[in-house]
Amino acid sequence: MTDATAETITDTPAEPASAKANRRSRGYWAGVAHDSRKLGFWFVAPAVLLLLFIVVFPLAMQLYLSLTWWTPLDGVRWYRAYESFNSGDNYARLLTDGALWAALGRTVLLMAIAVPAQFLLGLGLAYLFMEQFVGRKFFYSILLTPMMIVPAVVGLIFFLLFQGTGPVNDTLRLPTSFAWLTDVHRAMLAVIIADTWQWTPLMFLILLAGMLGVPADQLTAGRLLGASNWQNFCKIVLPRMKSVIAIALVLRSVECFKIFDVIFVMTKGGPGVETETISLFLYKKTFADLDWSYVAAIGLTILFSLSLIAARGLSYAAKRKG
Amino acid sequence: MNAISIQGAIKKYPKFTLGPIDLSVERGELFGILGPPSAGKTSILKLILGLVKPDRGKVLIGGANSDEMEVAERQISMVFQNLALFPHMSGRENIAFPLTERGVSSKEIAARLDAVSDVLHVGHILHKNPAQMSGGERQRIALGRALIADSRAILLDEPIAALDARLREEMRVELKRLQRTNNQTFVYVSHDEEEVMAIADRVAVVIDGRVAQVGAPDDVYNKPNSLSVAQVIGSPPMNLFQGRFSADGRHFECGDIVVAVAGIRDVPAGEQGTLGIRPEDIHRAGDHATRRFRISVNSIEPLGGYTIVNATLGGQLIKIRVSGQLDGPDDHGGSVVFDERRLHLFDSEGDRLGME
Repeated sequence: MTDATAETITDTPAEPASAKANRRSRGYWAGVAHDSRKLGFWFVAPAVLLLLFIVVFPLAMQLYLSLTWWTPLDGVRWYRAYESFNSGDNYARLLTDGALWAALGRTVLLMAIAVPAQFLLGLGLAYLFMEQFVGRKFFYSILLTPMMIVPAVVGLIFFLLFQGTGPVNDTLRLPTSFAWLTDVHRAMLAVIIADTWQWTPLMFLILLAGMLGVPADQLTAGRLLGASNWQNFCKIVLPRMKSVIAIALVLRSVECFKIFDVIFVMTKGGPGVETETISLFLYKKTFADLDWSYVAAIGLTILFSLSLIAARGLSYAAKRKG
Repeated sequence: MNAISIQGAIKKYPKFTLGPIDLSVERGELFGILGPPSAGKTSILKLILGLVKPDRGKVLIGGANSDEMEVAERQISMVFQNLALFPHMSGRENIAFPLTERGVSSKEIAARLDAVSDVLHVGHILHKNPAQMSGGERQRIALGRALIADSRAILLDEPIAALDARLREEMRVELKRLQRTNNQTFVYVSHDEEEVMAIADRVAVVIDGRVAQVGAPDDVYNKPNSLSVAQVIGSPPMNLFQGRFSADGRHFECGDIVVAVAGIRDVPAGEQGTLGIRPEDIHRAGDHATRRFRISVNSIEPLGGYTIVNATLGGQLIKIRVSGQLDGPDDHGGSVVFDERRLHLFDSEGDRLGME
């Protein structure tokens, strides 16, 4: 036993001093292969460089521009924007910008209605799909189709559906004068319906995955111990899905906050500004007003706020995991 | 009256058919179901629970046909292999779950919880969640959840398989004590023969979806009614020799191994058969022993209280179980004898010969 151990230990022969000296003489690169830290650094370096280029640089540039009055109309190159440094006036301005806050309010309103609607519909569908039934796979595929469609196309579909002479009015037996997309009260509802149609399947998919993750034995145990299907769902399935629900809500809320394509195609933010969400507001500020430094300040503020909310939501999800 | 009775139940699955199953479990009995993995043991439990309906035959619960009974109406509890405790509930909530679901008053829940936690000695862990408990503690909570429901019977599906060996031994003693204390009907399923034999009043051996034998553990061990039961029961397994009965029906011959089969009825003279001898029924040959067999020892496994000798007899590997430890390397080397009172003979169909 002792001999065997000794043999194993001496199995790796000591490196001859001449080899070390030889390697030293070939400089830094010869040593990289033998130093796991250096080797790791060079393996990771390309990915880090790429990240710097696509994430850090645009963010830094945006921060830089947001602290100036720079616009492309000035004819000054962007890196010389410091010449119009404004000591953070853009950030002070956004605090008192009524149009911005109104757009933010409409975005939050849209989120507050669309996301819970998508959640409840997704949860209901997932509950139905917990059971086996004829055609389950077929309906599953059909249900997932909307989220595969390009949002602009969804916008176009609902633009056509909600025309005065379109199929919605026709089905509901409403007169052709009944306007959806040009009515100040109904335009947002139409947008919410379109968004809910497209994104309920994602909610359904995430929630179904969470439900199927609850061990079958626990549900059987619940049934044996006298719980009805509904009691099983409320007392065993839902409490075990808290983290999945949190992730689904955070994901959809963040996406809903950024909604652009559907609204752009359906109403272009109208009538007036009734469906102008924060993304459309920024779009108009950028391409109509060319107020780039202000847009940069708003963009950064939103990014920071959303990251904070998402991080809180996800850390809650991580704590509730299992 | 039987607590549970299965009469000619058959359940067909795409690649497996269970049954026909005929079983009856008496009230207050600890009934074991034993068999190799995928033999259909858990499917029998599902029939009893009502999680699957038999294609033919019926299941009687408390003497009544269970065809129209819902799962919960059967009043049968189960302890799952993975225990299936609810991880988001405390030990107290887990145990009380069946009562809260039935709308039992909180006063009665508290009283019954106290009674169950006294029996199971779990009062000190009721506030913990399952993740904070040890394997044995989780086991007790799962049992408590089954006991508190005041069920007709408790089904236990390999309930201690996930525990370590020492804890398994402790838990099976505990299970027996609980069953006796409460005079509960237990149906205990396991592939571990030692576990079932140690605690069951009666055992059903299930092989390939059928009940191969039902009886007291001693009977099943000492008089397996078929070759397949003989192969499943016993650790180390029974040594089997395939050979032929002599033309006069007085001997069984397998190469150099020749044993007398006197006293066994209906010997199929001249036909093929199988001789079985348990490892503990092979002994070192004394000086005056007749009908001795030469063996060559391959290896020895000293296991403390007993020793397993792996040897070759007539070109076939056999196992010999010896009490205690061997005196020296040559002990049990050389020649051995079979205890001829404890031979097991099976005909070419695998059925036991000479059974009462």
